[in-house]
Amino acid sequence: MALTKVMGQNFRAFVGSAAVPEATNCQVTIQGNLEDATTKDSTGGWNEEQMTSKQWSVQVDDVDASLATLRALITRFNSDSKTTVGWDQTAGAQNREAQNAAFARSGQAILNDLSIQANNRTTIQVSCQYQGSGALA
Amino acid sequence: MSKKNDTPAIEVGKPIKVEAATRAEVAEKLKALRQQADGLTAQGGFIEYDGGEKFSAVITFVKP
Repeated sequence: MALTKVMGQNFRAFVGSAAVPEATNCQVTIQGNLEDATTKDSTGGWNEEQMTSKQWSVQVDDVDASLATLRALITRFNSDSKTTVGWDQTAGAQNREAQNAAFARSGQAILNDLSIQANNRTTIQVSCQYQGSGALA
Repeated sequence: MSKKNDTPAIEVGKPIKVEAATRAEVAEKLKALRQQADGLTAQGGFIEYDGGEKFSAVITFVKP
């Protein structure tokens, strides 16, 4: 049986209850911080590791560059507030309907990185990163 | 005796909020709604986690 693969365009970031509109790329990072747990009992010459903490973030590139979106993003950044952020497989109208895929997750996150690239005679490009605060579930 | 039905009634264009203690329960409720909404198009349906003990989703059904 052929493996079902998820296409990049159908893996979308969600902020609040909606897919981030018009974005091109998104990147999800889930990391664990490790501590060396090797002791004199460890054998075979291999290190042993222990997870001490976990973190996650979602980066979205080329979000809708409208005035309203820009204002909302800057307001959110200044507010330091947490919002629901996550990802899911999508389909349907404008490819924004969440499919509740087995890999979908969400949590509370803070907008901690907002990048605006303004080149001559092109639409500005806005990218942002949400850093997870608390559990991802 | 009427059969208990915890699936909310579907009204075209009216958002329905679904809540539960686990992601799987919310997904099941959304699945039941989608099956019930024959011929309608779903919008939304993203399962949000509040960081505590609650999962929720808002789904709206519209005419295609």
